[in-house]
Amino acid sequence: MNMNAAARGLDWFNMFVANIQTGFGPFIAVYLSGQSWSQTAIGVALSIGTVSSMASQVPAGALVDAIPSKTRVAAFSVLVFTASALMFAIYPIPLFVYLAEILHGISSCTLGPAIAAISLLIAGRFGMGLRLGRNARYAAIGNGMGAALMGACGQYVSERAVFYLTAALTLPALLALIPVRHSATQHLDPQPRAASEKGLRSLRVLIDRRLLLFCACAMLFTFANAPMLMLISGTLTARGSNPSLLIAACIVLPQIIVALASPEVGRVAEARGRRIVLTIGFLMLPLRALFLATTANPLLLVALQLFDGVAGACFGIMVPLIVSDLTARSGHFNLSLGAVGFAIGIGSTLSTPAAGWLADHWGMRPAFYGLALVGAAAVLLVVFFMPETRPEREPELATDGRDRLLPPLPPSPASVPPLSPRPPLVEQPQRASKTGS
Amino acid sequence: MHHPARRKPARKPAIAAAPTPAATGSPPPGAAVNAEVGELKNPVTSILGKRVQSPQGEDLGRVVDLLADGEGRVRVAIIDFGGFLGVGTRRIAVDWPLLHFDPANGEQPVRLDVPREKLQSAPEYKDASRPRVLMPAPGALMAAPGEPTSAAAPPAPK
Repeated sequence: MNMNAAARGLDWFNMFVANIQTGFGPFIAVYLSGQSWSQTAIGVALSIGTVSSMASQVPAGALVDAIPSKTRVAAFSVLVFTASALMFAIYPIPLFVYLAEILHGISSCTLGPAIAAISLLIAGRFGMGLRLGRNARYAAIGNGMGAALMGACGQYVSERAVFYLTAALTLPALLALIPVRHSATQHLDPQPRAASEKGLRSLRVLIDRRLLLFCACAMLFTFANAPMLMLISGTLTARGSNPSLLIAACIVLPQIIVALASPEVGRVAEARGRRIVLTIGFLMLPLRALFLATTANPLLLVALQLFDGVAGACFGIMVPLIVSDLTARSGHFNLSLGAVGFAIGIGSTLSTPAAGWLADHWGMRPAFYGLALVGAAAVLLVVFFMPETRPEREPELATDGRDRLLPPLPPSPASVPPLSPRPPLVEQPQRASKTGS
Repeated sequence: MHHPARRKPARKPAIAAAPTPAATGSPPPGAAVNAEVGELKNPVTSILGKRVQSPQGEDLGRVVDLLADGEGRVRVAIIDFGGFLGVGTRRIAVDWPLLHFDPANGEQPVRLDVPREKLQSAPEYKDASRPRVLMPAPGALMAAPGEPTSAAAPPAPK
């Protein structure tokens, strides 16, 4: 019952966080333009945000690993969002905007892993796929609603009001954490983190071959995926009869697909394995890019966002799921998630200018062909090199979590639900009977 | 609580006043002008970040940059056009005389005498050193709004 409340709290939390993150998107550039910021200064501000989030991915992951209460991390990260949003709204001068960008970049990096860790605590290792499907569904609902809400707010109220709204939405996010805290911290036994005092030892988790492979897959996927919306919306702005509405549709439609498909994706990942889901999701990219290369019809461009929805659902769930498969019991789950986040960051940072350059010098079609090529490379990497990571169901005897990393090929020799508080429950009656006699 | 965040307010009157003789009478290089504080006769307005409207009152975006020539005259305004929540905006270079201001009415958007479709299909602004500028077609003396100003804008690149 408690667990149910926690699970629902986490649903809401995912939704509100996605709401909030919409406010921190590319809209910032629009807002700052309206505040008489020069284009150079806006570029600097956005770069500061990118750099600080890239730089803090891995350290933030390690930090989340080290802090026992993940709900506290999540709550604190959201409070930092509140502060950042208020800085944008109240004092849009360079000092505060840069500071807000830095704070937001860092706390995004602690929040993502914290949500994944809470999910792991609530659902356990074998319920993780379903749980992540739920996370993705509610995050997608939050993204879609956020885009609609903030678009309307910017249009009809004021651009500044968008940031007040963002700040206001952090409050329900915090409230949603209350039931989560009650359930998640009970089960929180500090994981097998005895050896983690040695910093080098903890970095060893990052040289797991499967994790590195997955980082490469994630980087290629993001490289091919990230610029597509930019290219599409550029085309729509130039041709559509109502570009803003069409772009809004391009943003919201994939979120609807993600919201609908995510639970099923999570189920398939648990029933059939990760590789099949990953392959399907990755396949969407080159297909989408090839279709996009052949048409400039605005309505078709919007319709092709269906592929993005499927790809987004698969990728969004597989990232934390595969990382949890590989590292849930090593005590370095969040560090590893940060490493994958870093790879994703590299992919998206490099790809937007690369695709923009291709589009400028060679045209839209070659740009999409280029992205299709990168997407196809990602598919090949998954099909030929990425091993299945789904843990075996049979609960065997627990071996040392650290030794598990040495043999790289079998997914995991022994798997034990790591977070259920079995031993105390078994001991409890014995003690009671002793005192009774 | 409410800091309106105006940066470098001193620069903007200088830009708006550029065509007046006082500002264009170029001093010899290296020599300082004997400057003093005065007031401008005509009202002026801040431009960067100002909203842009078509004569019909449609929202066309906002002014995000200005380009000046060697004599300090503003020649081109860069307009950030379209998009949704910052996704898919296009920056377009527009000939300065196409913009009309109402400095006495500071909050009034700038009026741009170009039909929306022309602005939409104009090439995206990339390079300040040789921008492709949306300008009135030769002979089109500020055509009435909505009237096609042919050849003003080449079609968007594929």
